[in-house]
Formats: sequence, C-alpha cells, structure tokens
Amino acid sequence: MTRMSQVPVVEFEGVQRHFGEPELVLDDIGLRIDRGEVVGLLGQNGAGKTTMIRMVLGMLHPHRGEVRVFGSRPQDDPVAVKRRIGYVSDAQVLPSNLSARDVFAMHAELFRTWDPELCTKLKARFEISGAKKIRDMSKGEARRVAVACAIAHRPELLLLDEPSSGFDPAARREFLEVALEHLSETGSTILFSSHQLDDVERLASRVVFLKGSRLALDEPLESLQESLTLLVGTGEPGGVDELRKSAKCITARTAGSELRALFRASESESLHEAAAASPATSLSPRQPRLEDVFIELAESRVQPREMQ
Amino acid sequence: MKLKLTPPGTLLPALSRAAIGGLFIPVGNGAAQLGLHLAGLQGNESEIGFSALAFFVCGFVGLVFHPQPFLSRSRLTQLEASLPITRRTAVLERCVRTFLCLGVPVILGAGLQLAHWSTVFGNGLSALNRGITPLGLAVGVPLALTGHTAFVLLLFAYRPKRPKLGRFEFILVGTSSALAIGALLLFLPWHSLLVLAGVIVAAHSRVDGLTFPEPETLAIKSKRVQRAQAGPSSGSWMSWLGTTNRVLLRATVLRPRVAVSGIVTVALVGLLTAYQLSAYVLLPAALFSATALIPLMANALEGTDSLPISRGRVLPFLVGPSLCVVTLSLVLDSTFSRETRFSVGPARAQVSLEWDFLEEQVYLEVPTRLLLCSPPQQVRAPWGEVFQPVPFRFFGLPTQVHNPYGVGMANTIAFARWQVGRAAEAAGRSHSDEELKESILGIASAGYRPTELGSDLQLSEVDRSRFGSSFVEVPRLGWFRRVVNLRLVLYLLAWGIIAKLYLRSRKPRRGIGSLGQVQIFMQAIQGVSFLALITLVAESNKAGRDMIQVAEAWLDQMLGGSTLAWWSLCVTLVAALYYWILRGFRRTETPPLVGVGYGKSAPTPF
Repeated sequence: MTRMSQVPVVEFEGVQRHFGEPELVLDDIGLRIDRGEVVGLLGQNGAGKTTMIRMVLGMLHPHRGEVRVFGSRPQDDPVAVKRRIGYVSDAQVLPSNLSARDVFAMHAELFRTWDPELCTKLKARFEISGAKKIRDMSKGEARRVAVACAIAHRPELLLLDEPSSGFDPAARREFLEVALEHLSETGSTILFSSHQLDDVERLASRVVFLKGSRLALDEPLESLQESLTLLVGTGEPGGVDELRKSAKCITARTAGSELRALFRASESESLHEAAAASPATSLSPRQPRLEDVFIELAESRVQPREMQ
Repeated sequence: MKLKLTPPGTLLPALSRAAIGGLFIPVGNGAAQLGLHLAGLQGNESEIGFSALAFFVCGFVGLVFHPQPFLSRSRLTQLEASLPITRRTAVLERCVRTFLCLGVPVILGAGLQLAHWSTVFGNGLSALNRGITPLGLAVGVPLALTGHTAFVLLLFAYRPKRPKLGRFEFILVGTSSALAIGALLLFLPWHSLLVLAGVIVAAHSRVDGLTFPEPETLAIKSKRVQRAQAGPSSGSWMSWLGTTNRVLLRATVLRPRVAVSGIVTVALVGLLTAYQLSAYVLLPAALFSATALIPLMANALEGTDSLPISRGRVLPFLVGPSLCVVTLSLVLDSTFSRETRFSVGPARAQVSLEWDFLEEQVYLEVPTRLLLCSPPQQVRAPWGEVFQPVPFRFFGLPTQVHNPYGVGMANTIAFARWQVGRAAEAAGRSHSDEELKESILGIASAGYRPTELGSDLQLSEVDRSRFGSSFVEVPRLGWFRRVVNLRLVLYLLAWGIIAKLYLRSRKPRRGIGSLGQVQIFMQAIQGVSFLALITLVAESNKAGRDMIQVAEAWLDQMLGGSTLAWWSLCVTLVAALYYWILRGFRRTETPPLVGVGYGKSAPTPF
C-alpha cells in the first residue's frame, strides 16, 4: 500500500463550530474516514450532520480544530477538492430554470472526470426526462437528477445529505442499488446522513452518532449490535441515576412505566449491573437494532457516555 | 373586506424597524443644523451638513424601505400560499403592512424634526424655512413611497364591475391623462416629473393588479413570472457562454429585480441630474441601491457553492452589476449635469455668475488649478491699482488656496470690471464679452459698490430672469476628462468598501443581527462625520464646503492634469478594490443569508 493511499479521505481533528455565540453545533469532533469506508451519520434534527458534510466540502469552516479532505484543508483549494466529491444536498439546490439536460451539461463542464456513458445509464435507470425543467419536476424527480449528477463523475468521495428523502419506496430502493453498485465498481468512500435507519443498516459499514454537539458513538455497524445490550425493565422504573453511574452503561432512562438502559456489555453482564442498581421487578435483555440504539441515544436527557 | 396581517407577528418588528429609520431623520438633520448654529453660520451655508445628512437619510431610508415597494410585487411565500386566504387578500395585506410601516417614519420624522427646531432655535418658522429642503428630502422619500403604496392599495382593493375599459373610455382617459401631464410639464417641470413617475408606477401596478387571477386559487407562479424566470435554453443566444456562465448570469445580472433596479437607477440619475439633486440624493441612493443587490445575488448563488466553481469566477457576477450601476450613474451625472465639476468655488474664489439651484446665487467658477499657485502674488491692474489675495489652507490638504481674481474692500468698480474680465477669460469666456461683465457689474448702476458686494464679489441680489440666458456654461473639459473626477474616485472607493462588507467572512459575534451591525456602523459614521463637520466648519469657515473640489484640483495637479492619468487612477483603484474583495471572498464560507431591510432574504436560487 502506498503512502498516498494511507492518507484518510476525511479527517476531523478537534473541530468546533458554532452559529452565533451561544449555539455550539459541533464540539471537539474527531473523526477519520479511510478510503472505501461507508459511514452513516446519525443524529437528531439539528445535531450537526449537515454542518459536518458542508465542512467536508469547504462550504463551512471550523472555528477551532481542522478538517482535512484528501489530506488538505478544503478551504485552501476548494475547487480541486470539490472536483473529487459528489454531493447531494438535503435541499433542492439545482438551478430550477434549467432543464435536466442543461444541468448535466453544466456538471460535465465542471467535472473533468464526467462519464457520459454512466450519465446516460443513470438517466435511463432513473427515468429522467432531459427536456423537463427542474422546477417542473417533483421533489423525487429533482432528487434523482441530483443523485445522477453526484455519481456520474465517478467521485472519490460521495457526500449524501438525507439522500433518500423525497423518494418513494421504489425509488429509494433504486437509489440504494445504484449507490451500492457505484460502491462496488469504484470503491469510493461514502459519507451520508439519513433518518432512514433501514438504509443505514443496508449501506453503511460504520455509524457515527451525533448528540449534544459531540460524537456520542463511532463504531462499525457489525460490532455495534454485537457489543451492545438493551435492557428493558418493568415494575418499578427507578434507579436510573444509579444505572448511569455504571461504567458499562451508555444511557438509561424511564419511558412511561419502563426502564430502558443501553449497556456496552454482554446480556449477562448487563443484567448483573442492572440488578444491583435498579429496583425493577423484571429485566429483559436483548440485542438492540440500530433503531433502538438511535432512540435510546436520542431520547437520553443527559449526554451519553462516550463509546470507544 | 376584513384583513388580517399575515404571516402573523410580522407587523410589530416591521413597525419597530420603520420607527428606528424615522428617528434617524431628525437626528441627522438636527446634528447638522446644530453644528452650523454653533459655528455661527447662516442656514444657506449648510451644504456640507446638508450633503452629509442627505447621504445618511438616503442610506437609512433606503435600508429600511428598499424592500418595501417590492413586497406587493414579489411572489407569495410558501407560508402565505398555504394559508386559507386568496392571493388577492394576501397581496392586500402586504400593502397594508407596507403602508403602516412607511407611515411611521413620516410622522416621527416630521414631528420630531419640528420639535427639535423649535427647541434649539426658538424660532420655528424661520428655522423651518431654512431647513425645508432637508425636511422635504427626509420625509418626502417615505411619503412618496407611502403614497404609492396607498395608491396601489386603493387600486387593488377596488373591484370594478367592468373589468376592461371600453375603447371610447380608453381614448378619453388616455388623452386627458396625456394632456394633464403635458400641462404639468409646461408649468411645473420639476414636480411634474415626480407626478409622472408616480402615474407610471401606479399605472404599472394597476396593470399588474388586473393580471392577478380572480379565482380563489393560490397559484404561486403566474405565467408572467414564469416567463421572466425562464432560463436560457441550449439553443438560446447565450448558448456560446457555456451552461455554467449562463447559470451564474441568470442567477445574478439577469435576475429581474437586479436588472430592473439597475436600469431604473441609472435612468433616474440620467433624467434628473439636470435638476442638480444628484449629488445630494440620487448618487448616494444609486450607490445604496446598487450595492444592496450584492447580498441578494450572493444568496441566490448559495446553491452553486457545492460545485467546483472558483470564487474568482463567481465574483464578477456578484460585484459587476453594482459597479456598472455606480459608474454609469456618475458618468451620466457628469455628462449631463449643469454643474461644472472641474472647477472650484471656495468662498474667496467665487468671482462671478452661474445659477446655483440651492443658494439662488450666481457665480462664475474659474479653473481651480489657477488658484492653487502659491504663495499668492499681488495682483496689479495696468493702471497700478493692486489687490493682495489672502491665502488660506484647507483642512487636511497641504495646499494653500487663494483667489487671484478677487476684489478688495477698497478697490474700485474699474478694478472689479478688470478682474471679472480676467476671470471670464480664464473660465473660457472671451475677454471682450461685454455682456458678461455688464451683467456682473450691472448692479453697480443700482448704486452698489464693490464694498457692498463683499470682498469675494458674492452677489446678494440678482435678477433671476438672467438665469440660463446670459451665462451659458462653457464646457472647459472634454467628455473623457469630465467623467473621471474625484467624486467618481470616492464613489468607487465607497462601492469597494460596501461590497467588501457584504462579502466579508462572517465570524460569530455576540448576538448582533446583521441589521443591527449595519445600523451601529452607520451611527458611527454619522458621529464621526458630525465631528468632522464641526471641525471643518470651525476651521475654515465657508471654505469647508468646497473641500471636495479643492481636493480634486489638488489631485489633478498631482496627476499632471492628464486625462489618461485620471483614467488610469480609476482603473487601478477598481482593480485594487476587486483584488481586495476577492482575497477576502476566497476565504469566506458559503455566503450566508444577509438581512436587507426587513428580515432575511429568502434564498431563491436561480
């Protein structure tokens, strides 16, 4: 492996960013994404997912720390960095007065690695009408054009901000297949944010969870579910504070009459820890799904214990 | 029809901002008037204060009201469109809101202005007379906008039973309107232009009003808007530009609001410059209007920022239109203005006659460069009568100025006649132009003597029937030289600074909104200017008002009087400013939404 290939595609180092003095969106973010990784960025609305993606593009600058893309700061030579990136925004940002054909022509002008054949293939696959103007398209149609534009220049890094929002289930599946094909063909790196946890489970090899402006979780998807245990207790839902003191407890809360706690431990270890701390009469452990992890981390009122 | 202001909660902030704008009207004017009062000057010497005031007033009025006339014409927001009201009602509500917002500063401005005068001067009536023009300007602009909005409101609220005029009615109304406007133009050329402009605007609004769909639907886009926003297709005349350039062009220069605003600004300056209001109102307003387009276009380009388009490629599209508008406005003004730019009329250099719109005096201006020779030498007439010019220094300039054509208190009429002849010759008039000399000294026959005219021959009484007939200004400079002057240089500098401010890198600050920042900035300028005004006035008495002209003459001397050097200076200045803006712009993030007037402009890309 050459030295160049060891350079991380994306690297966040102690990044802090705020919008206005009191609003700290990202705080001390450290993240390294290597070539070929597919990273799902999770978090509640306003957690800073879009901010992180925009920082990778150089559209926003860190107020502290450093962001490096392909080894260099994106704001130093933004054009060169952006040429290697495919980006699908969470909003419709394509020129609405242009037809799809003109939008593709514009991207072909701007990206030197534009692949006309791939573009033709994608247009056929997404059933994009070249003559139709963006403003006359539905949200899903415009999103398909955006996805095709992002992929057709075979980017080394694909940034997808809520890519499947606006897609119907069939289009969503189509999009996922295209993304996976692109991944297998080019070995690109993908950083994407999504609230569709099924998509994340299907596409991502690693998940990063943002909570309270910090990274609450950064772990390969496979090991994530294996290493975590979700405990649901009924009866007397007390002992949350005691549970949180446990070194293996990531987060604990009460939901109605239930006690819910997420442990980085095996089922038996989790039960042992919980039994000592909680007065709940019945504790049932299970392996959490990604959705469970998301909800537990999101619903927790206190900052989850950082997981390594 | 019962109207509720929508979206809810927008009226109060809008009103409060309007009130802030209104408060600045008397504050600025009061400061200027008070400064002059303390310096013991007469009201008609208040040009600097007036000029500075007008700049601030225009700036603030523009800042606060600029978006207002467009509110009734802009597309409905998604929120408005989603509300259970007709489109007609939504537009009416906007008009009401605009009307209320515009009325507040008028009442505040006029009321406080009058109260201020009465308190400071104790003789309200005379002070009112003295400051009636600033009042007219300060209150007139929002008043005119209020009137326009009210007119649109009335027209729009009226639902005619017969939607179209018949042919006979159309001819009747059209002919009588044309005759009425013609009559106004004949008798009141200045005011009729305002009336004409009002009629055109109102008529245009009326036409728009009729094109709104009557059905109770809330279609967001009309066909007209769609046509206006239609982008260039591949086969269009712009296809040679390439798709990316067409997109950038369409998002900036060819935006209807940008194009129309630019054309209207330049046209207004061109049309009204002959009325000599340009320096006080039109040019500052043009500068404001043009630069206010920069954040609008920057917002529109937000969508392209994720694409590999360099900032250097985007910047010309962002700042180019405003630069064109400012430059064209100044060029038009210099071309058509009756005022001779390249000349100076410091108090002791005013020799004879030219109509001055504001002071209602006449004086001929002589080329400044002739006045800058130093030290002043004694002027001796062929028969031995002498005059010793008194030199004085302008604030901040390393040059002494004196008037070699002046007349002393003890000089004779013959000496004055001889001096006027020399000045006329220097100003491009023939030495033997008896008409000129007689006109200037004609008042001697009424019993005046030079001593009564004052040491600088300023005339206190003139025959207004002579205006424009006896003393036609003789152009002394070619067009290429006339259009480049110190004012152009200063305006270009102002353009560069404002553009830089709009496109600067935004680091988080402690809760200061964009509008608040601008207001604090403007207040600071106002304070500094006020101090400068007092200093200037106190230091050099009447001379302060001519500082710009003297500075221009000084600069002209430095440039060797070369037209090429002036052009080079302007081009170099623009290039330097452009590089300065670009350097900062390269380091900025995606241009954030910048507040212009009310609230933040919504990102409406392309």
